[in-house]
Amino acid sequence: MLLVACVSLAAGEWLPFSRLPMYSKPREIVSYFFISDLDDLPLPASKELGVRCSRLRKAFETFRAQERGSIADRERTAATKTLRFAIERKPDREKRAGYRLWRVDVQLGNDGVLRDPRVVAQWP
Amino acid sequence: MRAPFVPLERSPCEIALFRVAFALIVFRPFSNFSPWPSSQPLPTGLARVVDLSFLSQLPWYPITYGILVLALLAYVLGKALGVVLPVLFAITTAVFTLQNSQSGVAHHLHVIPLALFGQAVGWWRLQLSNLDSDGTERTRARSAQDLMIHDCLQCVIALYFVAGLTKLIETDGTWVWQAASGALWIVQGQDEEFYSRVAGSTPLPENPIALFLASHQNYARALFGTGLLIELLAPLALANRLSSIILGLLLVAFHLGNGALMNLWFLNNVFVLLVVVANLPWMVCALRPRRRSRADRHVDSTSTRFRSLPTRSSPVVAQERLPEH
Repeated sequence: MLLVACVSLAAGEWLPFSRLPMYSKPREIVSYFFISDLDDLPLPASKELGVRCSRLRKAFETFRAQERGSIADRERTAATKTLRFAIERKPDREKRAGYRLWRVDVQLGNDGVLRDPRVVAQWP
Repeated sequence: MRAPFVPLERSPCEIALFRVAFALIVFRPFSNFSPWPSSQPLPTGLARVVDLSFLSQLPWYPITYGILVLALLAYVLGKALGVVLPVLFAITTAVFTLQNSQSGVAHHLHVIPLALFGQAVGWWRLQLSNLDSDGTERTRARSAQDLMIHDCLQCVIALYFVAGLTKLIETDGTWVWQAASGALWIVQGQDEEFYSRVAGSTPLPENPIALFLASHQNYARALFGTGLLIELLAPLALANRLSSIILGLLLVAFHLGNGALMNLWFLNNVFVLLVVVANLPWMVCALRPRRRSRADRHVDSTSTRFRSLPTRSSPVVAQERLPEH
């Protein structure tokens, strides 16, 4: 047991071994992503593009980790790549004029939970 | 002198049920016969070394699927486990790595290949050691599968222990204190589920538990701290069968709670926990009606599959095996 535990902690992300880092760093602000049309009407991502919103978040985090430069530049590029990645997953998607990727930052406030949504990428 | 290692002895019924149940668990992620991803845009783990996208193309897709099904049938029958277990481990690792190379890592895919890894190690550990070398072919096969299940349990428990340790390492031991903001995880999970499925002009629903925990942060610490405690106590499942059942059920409850609160349904983990840790096959076998005679039971109670193993450090066993004059 200890041997497998040590290998998992040392190996990083190498399936089936992993440090299992999910929810290991509680934060004061957490984010998630969703997709809308160009009229800002949210679209059900699973049905529309075949991708769940949790996958959008993971893709954004992975792209952001691959980028270099300032945080703002990395996040802008990662958001653009995430939207393109989501659109390309379903070539036979319903025809639309375009899509917007929204980022929602969530934090605790005096009156409960505060959500701060903003557009971070648009296609085309 | 240190006592020789003795894994938990399991009945043929329990071992057979374990194999059937575990084969179903392995097959479940493959049961929709949907094509595997044809590319690996964000490679992770093995995919960083080998391009695994060939698995989704002809002729490899049907070949891999066919090998998987044949290997699972052999596994259920308990045949050629020394070959079948590494094959199942390799296929699940490769396909799940390919799936994890699409948009970031999904950790619900780790438990099946890790449990298969443990089973392969356990089976080969007996073959390559001197354990039970004098046993009949039948007792040796059972001993190998006892070790197979034992090492599988060790790997599954390690998974949870590591998840707990990582939380402590990443926060310098302050995870429970910082988990006061855990309500945000519930909001994140619920909102992501909403925008994945519903969206449109439907208003975003508020989760009453998240709102309660947001304003009662010590309750949040207690709730999420309990989850961490269960993960860190997971190694107690290795002590005996009862502790294994209790910890197994606690970990299942932990996953179901995460599912209900945050839409994190780790079904692979739930099924593996029920079979490997909570000892479901043993419970089923214990409940089935017994038809054996008293003489059979006496033979069973005195049988010593592992106790009579010829180890260099057990002179008592050597004495037992002296020929009678």
